[in-house]
Amino acid sequence: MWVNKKELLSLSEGIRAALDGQPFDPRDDREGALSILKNDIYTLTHAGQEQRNVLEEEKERLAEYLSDISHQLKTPVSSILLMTELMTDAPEKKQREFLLGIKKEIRHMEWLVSVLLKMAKLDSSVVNFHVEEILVSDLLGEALKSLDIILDIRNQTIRLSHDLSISCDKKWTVEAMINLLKNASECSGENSEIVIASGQNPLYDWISVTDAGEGLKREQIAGLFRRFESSQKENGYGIGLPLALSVMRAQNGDIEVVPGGNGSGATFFMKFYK
Amino acid sequence: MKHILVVEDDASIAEALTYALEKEGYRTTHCRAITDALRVTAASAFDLALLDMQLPDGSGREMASRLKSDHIPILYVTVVDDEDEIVRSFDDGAADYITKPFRMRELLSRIKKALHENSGGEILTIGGAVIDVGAGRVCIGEREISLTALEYRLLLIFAQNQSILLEREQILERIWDISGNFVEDNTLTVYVKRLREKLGDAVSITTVRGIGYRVG
Repeated sequence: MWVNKKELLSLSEGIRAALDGQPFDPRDDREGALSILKNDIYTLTHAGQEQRNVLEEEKERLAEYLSDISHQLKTPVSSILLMTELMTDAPEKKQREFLLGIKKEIRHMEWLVSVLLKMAKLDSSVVNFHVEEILVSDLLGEALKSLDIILDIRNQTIRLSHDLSISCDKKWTVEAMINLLKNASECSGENSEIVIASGQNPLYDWISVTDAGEGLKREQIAGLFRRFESSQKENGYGIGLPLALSVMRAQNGDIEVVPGGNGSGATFFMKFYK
Repeated sequence: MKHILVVEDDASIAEALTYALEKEGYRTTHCRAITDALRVTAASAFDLALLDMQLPDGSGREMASRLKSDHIPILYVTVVDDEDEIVRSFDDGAADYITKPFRMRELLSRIKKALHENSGGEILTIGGAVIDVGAGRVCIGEREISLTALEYRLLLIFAQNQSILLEREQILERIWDISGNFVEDNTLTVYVKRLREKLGDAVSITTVRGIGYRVG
């Protein structure tokens, strides 16, 4: 086989350019060993380029994530700063008001930080799940401990329509359930009923939470699970549902949403794959 | 006076802890690190140790074996909330475990439990009502009164603070501690009213205008 030196030199040059992130396509649609080599070079440099793009995207996502977190913390921090500054020479009644305000902000931060930590643990797969057989009614009972007062105030009831034994990690599944129930409670009006059901099929066991709201639009669903997306909601930083999803995915499960509408609320299915 | 050893390297948490414990009538000794704590335990006797898990010169657990041989109950106060770690601490003989951030009230009640100072507390009486705290049930005479979650919590707060003037904010904060949700001021008014209706003459809840409530 006869190879042209000039052709080789230009190939080398191209590869170097590709390594620097420049586009390079040496393919010539001809036959023979050299053309095959050119094809392979293209595949190789192209794969590298793809990888670099993914890394770049990851980096951007991380930066965005960090800026979201900073922003979420900045708001309560500035109001705490302001209130402590004003407290010094405020009348006593005002002082108490500020103190309560400060406590409120700190609780928010506490909650935010604890959720972020949980998500970081799930993201980096350092969570050890302790899988056991447990009744949905027991999971629900555990979840309700932190929700009973808010449900009482909104006069909402929770009905379990079908009980089942499911194998999952109790603590984390309860965590996911609390966040789904919280969301359901917020979407449902006062004096309403939230329905929990469960069931199984050959692929997975499931628990569902159906709220008494007006249902969702299809295009809303993805946003519900994007971190910090719906943070304008009162009391929420838009990370309750993303946390629930992270929990389910980390223990080989998922969350599926059936949007409802026309008088029926949305249903969130927690799926536990077998 | 019970003597509590506090091993904690964060200065402001240590200060808050010792302040609150002394206010509760405990004697405290604070150490920043294991080496100091070992020196102190060799010199004086303690009834309980509050240990941080991560200390500048090692893990709180290294401290534990020493304390165990002296039969001092250990209560870990730590940011580590890993379930396996918690289980391991109990296996090692920890009396209890509380994760930061924690509520002072919660810590104090756990300290009391570890010191076996709990005065039973499972049955409380308030006026003509009897609260079975373990079962979460309230009876007036033979009749069981059915209370909603918030009504029950409110009654429990009143029962634990009888003949004390409870300010509205104190009550709101207490509920907040338990439920994690801030309850609005007018919600409190509504629930006290409901509680009065359900309990009738058995319990008298007095309104102290502009400030709060007093029971008993």
